[in-house]
Amino acid sequence: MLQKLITTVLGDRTEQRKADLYRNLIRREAQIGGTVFGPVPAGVRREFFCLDEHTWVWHEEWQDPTGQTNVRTTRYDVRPTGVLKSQNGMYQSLSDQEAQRLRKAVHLYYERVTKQMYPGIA
Amino acid sequence: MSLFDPTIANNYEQLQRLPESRVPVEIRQRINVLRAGVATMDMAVPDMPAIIEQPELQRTAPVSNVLRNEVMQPVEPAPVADVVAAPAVDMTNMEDVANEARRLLATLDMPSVGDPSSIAAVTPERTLAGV
Repeated sequence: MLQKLITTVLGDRTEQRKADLYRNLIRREAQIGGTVFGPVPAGVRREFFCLDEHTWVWHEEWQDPTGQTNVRTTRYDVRPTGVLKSQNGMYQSLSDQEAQRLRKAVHLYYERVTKQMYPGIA
Repeated sequence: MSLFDPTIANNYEQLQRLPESRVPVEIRQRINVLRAGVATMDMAVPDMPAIIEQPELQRTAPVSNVLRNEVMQPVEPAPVADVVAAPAVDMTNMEDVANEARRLLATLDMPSVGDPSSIAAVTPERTLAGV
């Protein structure tokens, strides 16, 4: 019984640590991804990252002149027939131009992330 | 140090020195996800360099301003015809993923927003105006 409990606790910790590690990787990638689109202005928080193989996320926070914080999270859902852009439950297909730019951004993201985070591994 | 210690993700110099056999499986998994993500994008969006105005997407220039402006444009409800033509989308799943993204982002240890006076230049209205 005790052995089973110890195993369960240790197992949970290991899983938690694995999850923490994976989450930390995404955090750092998101920071690097935010720089793909040029310098991030002061006071703006921007992250861009690969959530999974079909999903890319852009998250931006900024303050308006009244000091109110604005947040916009945009999700790109990559489908075999194109890319859907989603915000607040609404979605639309990307134009060819925007899709090309997103594709380019994804390639830059991959280059920068692998160079800065996974050199010699990726 | 355990290979699963999250702090290893914050010390990339150490990571670079790890022998290949000791690279945490989570990192390998993550790299595989990235590769798959790029490949999926390439399949969905065939390369069409001619469609991209130069020099916006020169490697040394920001991809940036143009796509950033596009991202900041609110999504309008799609016309019925587009919705019908779009592949089936599991909206429940989309929300789940979006929630996961928000959860991840909420845990990011980023500096808080700074001087509001320096932020006026990046409100959506101004970015849309091409600033």
